[in-house]
Amino acid sequence: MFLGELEKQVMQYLWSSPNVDAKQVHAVLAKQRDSSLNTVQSALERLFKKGLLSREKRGHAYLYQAKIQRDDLIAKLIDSVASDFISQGESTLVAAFSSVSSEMDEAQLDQLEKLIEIQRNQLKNGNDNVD
Amino acid sequence: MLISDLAVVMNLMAIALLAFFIGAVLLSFTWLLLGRFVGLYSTGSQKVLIWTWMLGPWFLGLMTMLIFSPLFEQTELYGLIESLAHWHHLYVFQLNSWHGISVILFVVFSFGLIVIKGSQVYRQNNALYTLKHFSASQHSCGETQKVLIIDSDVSSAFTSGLFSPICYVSKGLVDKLSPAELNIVIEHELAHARNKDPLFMLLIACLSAYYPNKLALLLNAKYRLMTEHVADQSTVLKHSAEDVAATLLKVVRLQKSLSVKESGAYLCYFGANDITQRIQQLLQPTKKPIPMIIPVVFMLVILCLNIVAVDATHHLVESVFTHY
Repeated sequence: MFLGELEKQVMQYLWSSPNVDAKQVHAVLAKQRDSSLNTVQSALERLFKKGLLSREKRGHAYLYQAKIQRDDLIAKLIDSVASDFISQGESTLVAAFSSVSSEMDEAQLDQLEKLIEIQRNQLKNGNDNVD
Repeated sequence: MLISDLAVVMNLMAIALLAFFIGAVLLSFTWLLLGRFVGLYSTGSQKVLIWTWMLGPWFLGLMTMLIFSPLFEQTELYGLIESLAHWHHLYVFQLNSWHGISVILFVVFSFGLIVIKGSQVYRQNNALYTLKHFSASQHSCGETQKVLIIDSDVSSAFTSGLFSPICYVSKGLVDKLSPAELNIVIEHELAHARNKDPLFMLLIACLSAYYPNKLALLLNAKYRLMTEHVADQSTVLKHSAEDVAATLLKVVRLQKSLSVKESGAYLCYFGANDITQRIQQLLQPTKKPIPMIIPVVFMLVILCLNIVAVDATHHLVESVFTHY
């Protein structure tokens, strides 16, 4: 999911202030960056097309609000980091600590836990014998 | 039709390409026959073997091209090889022949591969950059390398970045682990970053793309597992193997329970077997190294076979399709 700098700022603002029109967004963001009203309108339009915003017509203007909450977007971004390899069955760019397979059932996990416990006990007994 | 130095260059490319493909076929068959024994050796040895298979076709293509090239025409070795194998039209090259078409297809395929992998890198960098913008804060771990905490309830830890890899751990995972367990996760991720695993995994993915898809996936998965073993082993220096294995199991359980509630918001690429193999490797590591002479001799034997096979294939095809 590609988000430009202005789009990120718009999202950030809309999470804290929902139901605002392009002029209001422009008024706030103009303090942070030099963007014209047209540029802000285009960013809102792009975010709407990406499904990240919803809008409602009030008079001549659209009122925008975030369609996706911050936590959900973060989860989606983590997912898109992984998505390239999920579809291809290979991971080329990420090294993760662990991941789960739907085929890995509780019985298998319990079996592995037992294996660790056996090894712990063997080591403990070995150490006790040495003492 | 080309009759000049350019023809020699084009012919040498065609020779390299033919040797590359015959080499890839020979190596694919050998892996299918002997691949099951690779797991008997240490992690380091397995990594060497995977790299041998990845670079093998390129090495075979380059060496065969050099042997057929006119560079060594005056030497005794050239005469000896020519009695066994030769390229009968080194100074004449026809672009609309099977040589010309195969060179063009190879260049197009390689270019497409670079574009696909490049766009993957670009998309992922953008997603990570956005992730950092919205959520990440720095975590001090006593090393010069940084760990970024992602402000999210999902349980994940990963390392990304090709030249300066950065480790990411989600707040959801930090909250659910004890300080010792978190240290294991971070140590593991920092090992990936130190070893530049994302960069090498990308290289492996690119090199394996020239193999049949099934073997490519297998080699990628095998290499990934080796990087995990190496990262696990580096955490064992400061923690007991049992603690590392137990932490791995705990993280897997956390991801498994959360994955039901948060669809897709976790990293998934391993088969079930990999977690089992990682835990087994932690508890009973295989330390048997493979003698380096074995891959060296093996590649020399394959090279000899390759030279003869290039000559035979060339003559066989051209006895059916004469192109000039």
